Amino acid sequence: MSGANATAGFAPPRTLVLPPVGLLLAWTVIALVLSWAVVPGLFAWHDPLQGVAGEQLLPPSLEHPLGTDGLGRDMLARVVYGARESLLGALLAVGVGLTLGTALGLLAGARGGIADAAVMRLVDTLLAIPSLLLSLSVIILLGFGSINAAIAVGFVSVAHFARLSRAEVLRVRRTEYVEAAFGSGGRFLAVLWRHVLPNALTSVLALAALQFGSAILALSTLGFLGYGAPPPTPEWGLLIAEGRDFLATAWWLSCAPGVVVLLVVLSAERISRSLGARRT
Amino acid sequence: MRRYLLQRLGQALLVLLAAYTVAFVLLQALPGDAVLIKFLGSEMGLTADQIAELRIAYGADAPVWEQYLHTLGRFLAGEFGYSIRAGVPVASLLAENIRPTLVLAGLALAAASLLAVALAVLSQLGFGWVRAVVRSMPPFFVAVPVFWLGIMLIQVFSFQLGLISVIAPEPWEELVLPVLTLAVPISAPLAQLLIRNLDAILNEPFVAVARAKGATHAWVLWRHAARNALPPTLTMAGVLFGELLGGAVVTETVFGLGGLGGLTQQAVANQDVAVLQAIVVLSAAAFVAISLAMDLLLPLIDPRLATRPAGAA
Amino acid sequence: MNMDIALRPAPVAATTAAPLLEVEDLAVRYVSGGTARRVVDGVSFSVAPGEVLALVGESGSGKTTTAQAVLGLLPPNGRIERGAIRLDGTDISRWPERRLAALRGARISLIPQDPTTSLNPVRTIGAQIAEIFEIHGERDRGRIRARVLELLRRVGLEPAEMRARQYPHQLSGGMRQRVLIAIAVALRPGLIVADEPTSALDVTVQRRILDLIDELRREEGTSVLLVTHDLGVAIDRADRVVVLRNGTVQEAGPVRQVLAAPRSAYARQLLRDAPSLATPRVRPPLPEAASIALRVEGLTHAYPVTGEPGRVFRAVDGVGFEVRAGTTHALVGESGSGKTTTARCIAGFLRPTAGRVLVGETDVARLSGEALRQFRRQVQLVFQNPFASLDPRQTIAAIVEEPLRNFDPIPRAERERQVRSIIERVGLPDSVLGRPPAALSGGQRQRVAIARALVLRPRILVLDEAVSALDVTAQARILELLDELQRDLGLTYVFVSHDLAVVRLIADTVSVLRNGRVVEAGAAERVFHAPESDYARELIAAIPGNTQGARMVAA
Repeated sequence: MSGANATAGFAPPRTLVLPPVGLLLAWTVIALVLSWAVVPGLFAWHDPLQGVAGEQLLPPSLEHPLGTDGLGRDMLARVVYGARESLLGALLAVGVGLTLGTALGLLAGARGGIADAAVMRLVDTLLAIPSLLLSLSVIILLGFGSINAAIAVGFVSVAHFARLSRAEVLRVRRTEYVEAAFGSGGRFLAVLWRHVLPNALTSVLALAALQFGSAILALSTLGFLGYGAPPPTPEWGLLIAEGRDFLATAWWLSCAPGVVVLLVVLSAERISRSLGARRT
Repeated sequence: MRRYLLQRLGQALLVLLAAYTVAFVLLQALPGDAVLIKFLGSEMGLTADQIAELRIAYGADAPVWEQYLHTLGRFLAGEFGYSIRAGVPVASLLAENIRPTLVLAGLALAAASLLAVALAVLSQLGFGWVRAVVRSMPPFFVAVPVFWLGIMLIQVFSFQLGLISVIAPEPWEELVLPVLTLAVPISAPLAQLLIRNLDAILNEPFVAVARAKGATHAWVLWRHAARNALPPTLTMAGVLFGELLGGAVVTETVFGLGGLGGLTQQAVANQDVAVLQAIVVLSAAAFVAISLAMDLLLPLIDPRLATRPAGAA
Repeated sequence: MNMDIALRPAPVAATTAAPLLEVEDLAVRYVSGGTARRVVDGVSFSVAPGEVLALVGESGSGKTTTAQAVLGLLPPNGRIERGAIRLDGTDISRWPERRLAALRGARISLIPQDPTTSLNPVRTIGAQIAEIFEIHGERDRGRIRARVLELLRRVGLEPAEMRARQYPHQLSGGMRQRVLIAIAVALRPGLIVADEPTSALDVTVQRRILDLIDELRREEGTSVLLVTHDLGVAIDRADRVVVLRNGTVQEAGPVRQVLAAPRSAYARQLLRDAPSLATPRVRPPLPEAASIALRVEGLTHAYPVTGEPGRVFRAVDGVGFEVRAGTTHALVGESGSGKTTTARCIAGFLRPTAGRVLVGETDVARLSGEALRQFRRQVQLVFQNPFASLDPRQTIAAIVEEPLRNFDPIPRAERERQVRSIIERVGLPDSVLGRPPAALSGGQRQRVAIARALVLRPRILVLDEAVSALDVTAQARILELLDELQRDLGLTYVFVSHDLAVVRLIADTVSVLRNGRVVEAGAAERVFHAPESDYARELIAAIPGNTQGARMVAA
């Protein structure tokens, strides 16, 4: 492979390569949904909570692009305002998983020994319980509600973050450049800070992006089952559940929020992949 | 090899005990005392004395560690206590509900495997754009909310096309959409792993050697890549099982089917802790057993693992 | 030398007979990430029946791509842009995959580079040899089995019945390469493409494998296209050589002619830089008066064998030597000899089980914690792979500066001055300072690694295969740099290498290691010219290009 690979080690010719279209689309979706969460008023002109009598179950029209639900509420408004609930929940969930999981993983990977064995058995255990059951157990403990659902989802991802960050720390610790850093007189913490952390965190970041998507998916599932935000809060999973009652007559009610969830999760996955690919 | 077996078995038991502990801590030991939740605010109008009596009857007044050992002892004896809501033994509830879920999950797993293998083969042998499309399918499948997919399938097949009756479906009719709903998200990680493995294997020097022998793409795929891609897929079996169970909860809810999923959903809605605890512990046990079985199966497929030194875990 | 040539089929055949393989004006392009790169550009050569043609070049020269194009096995992003590949007069460069597949194995076969990864780990040796017969339509199981056993015996793998049942991981690297050779000759092809067939093997094994290929191809009159980075191997084994660089032919001709009178500047440089052909520089006589900089006594490193309680494996077993200040001591050996373990013990990366490593009055083996950290200012290690030993996220300036930040606080401006001066000292322009390692070539990276090691002004530099990952020309420049630095700064080197040709160029004294023990030691001149142990003799004889090459250049 001397022709194909070895030269790749040398400075590549600096050319402007367009970023892939899919990745651009993914960022666009995320940016759009973020702005829904921040300034929903710009995107929807109806009240998400207050229905209009006599305007129930209208099909999509110019006035109501996504139609209205059984209480005469504008669907577009409910989907747009729902972004805040879902994104905040997902951020909280990823925050919980990232901090707890990475802390545990770093501890295990950097200290080794008993700390490592204990953390890894805990991770094994958390992974042995199906994730939905685990988050349901947490919810039973904490009670229903959007914040509790987010914490439950985050708790489940602790194991994933811990496992990855530990593996990354171990991988980086075995590299020659870390050995070389110790060899040139580096102290443990200095080497950890200068080399291990920056090199290990890239893929943890990629996992965070991926988990962000998974969290949105998991939260909408909990919302659908009725354990998340209580009605009438607009939450994507809840919207789909509500629309289910009108499946035969108003199919668009369940369709739209589902498509939004799908696109957001897909975008998060795409972005995560682009972050991960930039490793090494 | 025997030492490795024992070591692996010990590890499995340890994880199982830890899973029980997690379930116990989350569901029994921490404040949300199930008996109190159930009866305190209820319209049954029980006095404080009566509740205290009930708590003794359910063993909720004993010190935590005693409850821990007591429950553990019962679990080991195959006894899972009583459902607070239904008042019947949890074991009989489980026995009633396990069959439909096994049928659903089994069919879904079979369908998912077929789908995953088809995607993996197409990802290697298809034409340019077919490959691109096929490779974008798994992330798409992962991103689809399961419950939404179920609803959309009902919408399309029952209401729009009228292919599957919602009123009085035949037994097989009743299962088609749930199986499909459950199979799609399960197939995604399988397909992703298979495709990734195949890509890696087809870049291995031994594949170049096989091609230099005159083997065609298809020959290499069947004779070399398939067998090498299989072992890592098996290690995923435990995770898939968990996904299947979680997916069953959602799918059974969407389609209004009876089964473990529906049971779980009811248990959570009613804070029926004993039922949920039993389901969590049993599914962890199944996960551990499946993973262990796969670990023991792998050396039969990959001879390099058969000579693994006893110390390696 | 004459005798050697006489053993080959008369070179006349190369000029008169119709060529078996003819490559004409070949151009190959790779497309990746939206950019296209031409890696082979207008390459032409031909191989006569029974002839061995060597394609020689450094990494990125296009030699492997050319070989892949001949086999029709370019990677998916590779494409033949123009030119012809004629086999027996028929251009196969535009053939569809199906037709090419029928050709491969039967008329052109491959001996690959790395035997450890070139066999399917989950299928038996026998099945993998049998496969080539199955692919080409043989259905009779009994006949296939008989042929498989016959081939195993032919390549020296006995007992054949047992070998056929074994899996690749049960065989050594050399044995696996024999299996691959058996596959390559199974259908008696007219042409064998041997792509760096021995680069991954130890020298002594390399020699036996090359002998086997020679013997088999002579029996059948097979032609061989030998792809190699090692000019020594090409000279030993080929009738004619084609020298490639950046995808173009620099030089082509019979071995003798290229050796004696290279026409291109690049070929001349390659001949000068190839360690096996270069004349060892005259090293100044050992300064008798110089103090001992490093003394190793009874060094042993043992670890328990996994799965067998109570048994230990001694990677290093009672190694001892001393190195005078300002000289180079080489640790030479094949894989598993314990040379790297020894080096790591000296540099304080491994704690030996027994023995002493004395630097001045300090016993490195007893140091730990802060004392060990302080000691690192005196002994520095340079790693083998400059692609792995530099943090990809740091700039060159940060990499070289880091050791300074680990010890007494030095003002920032002073640190910067020292970094600039050491970067200049190792022959790099200061424009590299702001760049990441990925923007540098392998040779440049190794200079950075050396700069990092020297910035603390150590007395001893341990070089662990420090030039092995580099191309011949880059390797020669680094060796020159090391030589220069030693003279100017009075450094003491411990030079670990598997490559005796390189060692001969740089070492004053040598310890030859095998299975963790020193089997021969002494002044380099003496060891190379009058080796006392059988093993050292075998090692030296196995250096490719050793025999005739050096003499011809000298002549």
